[in-house]
Amino acid sequence: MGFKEVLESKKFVVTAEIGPMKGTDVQETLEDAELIKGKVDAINVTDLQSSVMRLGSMAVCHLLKDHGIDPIFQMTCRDRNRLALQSDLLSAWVLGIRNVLALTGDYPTVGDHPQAMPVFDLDSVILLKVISRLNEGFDMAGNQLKGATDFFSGAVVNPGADTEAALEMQIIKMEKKIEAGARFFQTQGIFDLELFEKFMKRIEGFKAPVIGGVILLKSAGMARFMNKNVAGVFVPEPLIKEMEEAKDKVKTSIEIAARLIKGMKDICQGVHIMAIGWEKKIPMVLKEVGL
Amino acid sequence: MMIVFEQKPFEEILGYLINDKSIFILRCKGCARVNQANAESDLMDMKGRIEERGIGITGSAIKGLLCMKAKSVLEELSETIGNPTSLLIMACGLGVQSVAEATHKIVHPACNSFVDKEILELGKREYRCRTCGDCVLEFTGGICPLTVCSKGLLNGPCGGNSLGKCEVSREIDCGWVLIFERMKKLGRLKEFMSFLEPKDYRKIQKKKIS
Ligand code: SF4
Ligand code: SF4
Repeated sequence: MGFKEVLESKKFVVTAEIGPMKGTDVQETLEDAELIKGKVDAINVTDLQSSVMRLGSMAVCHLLKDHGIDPIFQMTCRDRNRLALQSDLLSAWVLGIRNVLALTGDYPTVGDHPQAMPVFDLDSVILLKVISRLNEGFDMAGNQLKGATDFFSGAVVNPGADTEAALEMQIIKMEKKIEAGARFFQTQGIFDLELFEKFMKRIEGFKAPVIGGVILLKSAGMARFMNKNVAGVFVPEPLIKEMEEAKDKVKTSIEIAARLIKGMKDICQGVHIMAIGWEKKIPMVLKEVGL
Repeated sequence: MMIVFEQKPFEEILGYLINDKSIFILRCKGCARVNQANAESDLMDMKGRIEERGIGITGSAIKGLLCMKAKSVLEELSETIGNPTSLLIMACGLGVQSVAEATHKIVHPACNSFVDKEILELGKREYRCRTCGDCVLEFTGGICPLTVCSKGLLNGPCGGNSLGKCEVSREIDCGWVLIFERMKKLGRLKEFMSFLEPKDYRKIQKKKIS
């Protein structure tokens, strides 16, 4: 069963995330993927994450597909105008990619080519509409396609937005995204299940399933760094302490992730594991949860 | 226009003058945005350094608003300008372009132009209106998303805002938070939810297109 079918059958899905390398050496990426193959329903491939130039999402998605893994093609509006975005969507479809995740994208200045021209010709809501349109067999300009796409498209939402205004806007934007064609949501990393549950209550009745994000903590320092620098991620003090006092950091990290995932089973319809370099540890996390 | 200019490195300017025997230097006295106090000393400094390198100077002048008045300025100077092999223009990009338009001589730029530095640092929010040809202020509480959001997003904020500040710089407000708060105060969240269509960049294009 592909990712879409698992989600539509209302089963609890598991997705993971891979960030392509800087360069052409894909061996490690494929090893990581091979290791989690069969244990996850799909793997997201990031699109020049944090605005750092690297191998593209489409190529890696295609390689994953060849290895029997259902990829989720992440696509940001940062680097391509509407011509390139649409063309890349057609290309991805032809290469066998079936799932797309539409994102705004970070500003270029956060990455390693801060001189780059920021494009943002479209935004994530418009991009979702465009995907829906391509699925209907038309491009943005209304021209008919010879051969349509049939993407399963999703978007992101950030339940940890740090002000009430930001959270309200997240919810409004989520509604707009659903209207534009988003059929699933993946969230930013969640560390506070109570807050997440409250968020899920607020969006009760929304027609798209939510897949909760889980980030593998590597150290207390990493947690503090994220609290300071990553919008929408907040690691509560007790968890930071737990990591700080851990003798075996890997073991504790896996325990924390497993706890979060178990908690999410009653709250949302899946988990999205962001291992950030610890991809090889994903099977251990899933074993701990019993998935 | 919120343009400011700053002198190019001298060696770069010298490189431009490699085939020149003599030049005429024209310094823009400026407009409200340009530091006028330094016009005289900048020019003296430039003259001195160029002469030091053995390039002749047929004359120089300081004139205001070169961007708009280049043609009349050159007419006025026709007597004094002499016969230089080129003109060196100490002005913003607009000034240099207007002079180039008004003469057949070679024109060298002596300066780099920027958007007002403060504004540049404030997340590249150039102007308050980009004259997009399809105004959406009705849906955004009179605050333009194209200019007040660093990414010019039309349908709500990106995930990068934190404590009301923008991802691009924590020094500046997230434009979408400003829009949201205004619309909420006005009781217009329904309008706030409207889907805004992608822009027609033919109307915004900076370059002239036919
Ligand atoms: S939406 Fe913004 S850029 Fe467009 S006309 Fe209105 S104020 Fe100007
Ligand atoms: S943080 Fe706010 S102002 Fe900055 S790019 Fe995102 S939405 Fe726009």
